[in-house]
Amino acid sequence: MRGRSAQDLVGGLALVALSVLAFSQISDLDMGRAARMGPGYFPTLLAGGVGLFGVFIAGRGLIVAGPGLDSWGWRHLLPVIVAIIFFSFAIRPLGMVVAGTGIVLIGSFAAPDLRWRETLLFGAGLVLFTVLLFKVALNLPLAIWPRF
Amino acid sequence: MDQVFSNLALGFGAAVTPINLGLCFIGALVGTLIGVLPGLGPIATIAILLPITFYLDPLGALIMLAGIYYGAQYGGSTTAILVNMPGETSSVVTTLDGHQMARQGRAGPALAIAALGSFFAGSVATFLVALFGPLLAGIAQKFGPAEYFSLMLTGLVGATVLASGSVVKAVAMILVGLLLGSVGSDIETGEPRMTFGIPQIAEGINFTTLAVGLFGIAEILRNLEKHAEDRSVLGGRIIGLMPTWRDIKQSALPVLRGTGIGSVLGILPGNGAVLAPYASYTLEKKLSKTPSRFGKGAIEGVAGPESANNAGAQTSFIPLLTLGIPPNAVMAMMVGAMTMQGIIPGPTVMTENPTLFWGMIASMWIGNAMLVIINLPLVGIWVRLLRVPYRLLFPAILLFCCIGVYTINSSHVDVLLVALFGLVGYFLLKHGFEPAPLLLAFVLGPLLEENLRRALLIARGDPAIFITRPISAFLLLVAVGLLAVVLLPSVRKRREEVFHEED
Repeated sequence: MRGRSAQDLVGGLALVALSVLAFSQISDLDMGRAARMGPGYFPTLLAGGVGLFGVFIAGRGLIVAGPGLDSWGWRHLLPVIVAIIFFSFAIRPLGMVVAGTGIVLIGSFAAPDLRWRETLLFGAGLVLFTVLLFKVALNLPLAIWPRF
Repeated sequence: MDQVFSNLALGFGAAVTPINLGLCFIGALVGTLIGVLPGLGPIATIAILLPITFYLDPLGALIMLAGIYYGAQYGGSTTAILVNMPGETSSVVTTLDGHQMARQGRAGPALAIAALGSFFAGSVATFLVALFGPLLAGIAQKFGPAEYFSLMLTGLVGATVLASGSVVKAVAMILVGLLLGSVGSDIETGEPRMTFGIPQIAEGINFTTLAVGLFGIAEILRNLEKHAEDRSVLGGRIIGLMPTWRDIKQSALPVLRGTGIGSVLGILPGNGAVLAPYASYTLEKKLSKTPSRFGKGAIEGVAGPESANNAGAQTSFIPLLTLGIPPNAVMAMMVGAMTMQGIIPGPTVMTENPTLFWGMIASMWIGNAMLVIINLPLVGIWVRLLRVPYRLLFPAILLFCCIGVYTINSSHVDVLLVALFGLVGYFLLKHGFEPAPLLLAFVLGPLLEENLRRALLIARGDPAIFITRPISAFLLLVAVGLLAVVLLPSVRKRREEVFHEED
């Protein structure tokens, strides 16, 4: 297939999808008119613009040659994303020590050259440091240990 | 002129307190640290530290955050010279000749010229901020909603022109940023818009969340992918920091020219600190009697660009402090910091809060002086830091990002959004979209909408208001001119060449 760019095609389609998503959220807002704009006026303009550019970029991807799709590095991506999600659900009920240790350990699976002993030692020091910085020095409202 | 000096005296009085000096030092130190470390930029760092600054007083907070930004310009050159890898995007060109000098055993003079050139440029640019700040703020006080709207529009157009990569994609990113910025309650009616019924984003998407996701997390993902990079720090001790008399003579003019280029490009929208070093390098090579030396360790190729990026970092504060318009993504972070402190960036900062304004400017000069000390005698520490492997660094960054975002609102939804925006940022990188214009537009979005609505309300819905008011018309003309220039075939080709070297 000559003269195509999958990178642009997919990128453009994503913009179109975003535009559709935005329209679905603003359709019931009052538009108003130019002299007295309602809450829906400006977002409608923008969502329309995003959609138009999406169509243009996707269309250009069909016609003009360009880079193809890059493969996604799931091996690095998954541990990092899972680690953040774990942290978000753990921080309130379980506190900084559990959430912090969790994010470091889960996230470390993304490292291409992982060494567990080193990571465990470093992680322990890191968690201690964050507790000292955020809780002791800055006195932020964070729990250190799990609440039962 | 007298006014400038009495103002500066006021500023130094405010900046030279033990706490503010300490914060300035911490900022410069952290800036150097992240500048030295590749893969952690000023945007992500400021985003991580924003929650902490909430507990400081406004002047102290801004002094520290500003220090991080210009400190990163100093630190970036150390990595560029010693490892042949840019610590920051703004020091890409320094690798060309700086690393060659290091290979010839002249790492010391290269580091010294980079630091001293940066110091000179920083001092001049700080003075320019003090000189032109009040002038611009005076003009800005005559601005009505129509002028503000046109100014922001011009700023956004400028950001696309000076962004790397496709202009069409940059404009698309601006629209997406504006759209994300309009999430939350409507400014007039308070009606929730595009909140998907999630109460945690009823007041809009948190700015830090977006910045940490798009820059912090996406950057980690990208770095992990190209892990095989070798960070071979040039072995051996660095002996003899002092440049020779000949080095200084060769560098003097490039430093001067670099300062000029950087100062001008820093004020313009887009990222002056990134663009200026390219412009300076190209100019020095053109002016040189022996252009063949470039790329083989010419000291002019270090002196010019390093001065340019620091001058640009300094003068990019001018539009922020006087007009309230951030010219690039880092300045957009500063808007976030100021808003968190209850300060609305704009011309009124100078009149209503002169100690804040002048204190910050004075601190820039102090910070630049501190940076020479942090960077030159302590260079050995930074070299050792470069040996910390990324497999330990990134979990630490991850942890700091999450704690930082969580503490702003104690909201776990914000942390989840960081994961989402991290994925979005990764998608953007994979599809050739630049995230910086998006962040800038996100910050400007609510302001742009408010001024558009107010201007059209005054004009009873007649859009002619934007071209019948002279300042507004002039600004729009500049925007059209910028767009026309970038679409001209010859400029387009040249622009692609410039940004191509960046990859």
